[in-house]
Amino acid sequence: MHKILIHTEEITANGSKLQLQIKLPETIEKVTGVFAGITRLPGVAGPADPADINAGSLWLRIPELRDVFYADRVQELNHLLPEEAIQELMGQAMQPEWWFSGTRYTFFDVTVPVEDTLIEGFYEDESSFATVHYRLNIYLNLYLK
Amino acid sequence: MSYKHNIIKERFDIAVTTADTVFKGEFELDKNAEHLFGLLLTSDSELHLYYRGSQKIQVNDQELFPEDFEAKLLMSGLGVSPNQRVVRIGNVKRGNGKVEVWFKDTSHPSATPFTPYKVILYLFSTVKA
Repeated sequence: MHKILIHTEEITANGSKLQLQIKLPETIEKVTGVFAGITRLPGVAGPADPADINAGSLWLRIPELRDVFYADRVQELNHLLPEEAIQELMGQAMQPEWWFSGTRYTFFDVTVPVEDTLIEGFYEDESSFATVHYRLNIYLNLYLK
Repeated sequence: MSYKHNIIKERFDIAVTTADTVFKGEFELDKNAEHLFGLLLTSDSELHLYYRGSQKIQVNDQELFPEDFEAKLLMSGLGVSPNQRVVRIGNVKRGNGKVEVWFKDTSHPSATPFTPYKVILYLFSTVKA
């Protein structure tokens, strides 16, 4: 049986370094997917350059194996086109819309057998936001016994 | 293997009329459906759904997506091939056929001001043999 677990952390300072622990259900057999993104909180302006969507870096590891199984840049998901050049070209002619540029997000596939029910993580803010106040969302796709 | 002609495609709407509120939708799968294998979210205001939406979805009293699962992760744009737009969820038994959605609207700086919008949920099931 599959289950999705969402772990959220609020990041409030520029250059924050955060150690986190994610408790998994007792019946977990393995982790089959990971997805991470951020959501800016209401009233907080984004980066001066909308193409600069990198927010920070995230590492996840299983303590019993002392091994990192996920390490990636975390981005602020937005509806803009991924290619900066096309974006600039489009920006002059029309407002980019989500349906045009829209992609479909998929989980990063992993197969991590878990015996202990704990995942450790480390997150470092590298954003260029004027005010740093956002929510880090970590989605874990779990396979339960 | 499923072909397009033996897939039941259903559409359900939830009207989001006030900001920062949870709306519950309760629907029933077609009685000829056997397994639910995919879903897709769209809206008449995609930016609002993309930035403001999150939801919990249950089918047959089984949780498919937990609370706060962002709507943007269940959307597909024109950049995705039509055959790949559906978000696959495995084969979930129809059971009692009850589909419950708790849709939460949350203010977001990239989608203001709030205007009422509609959340459209498409469900794809295989037909009973």
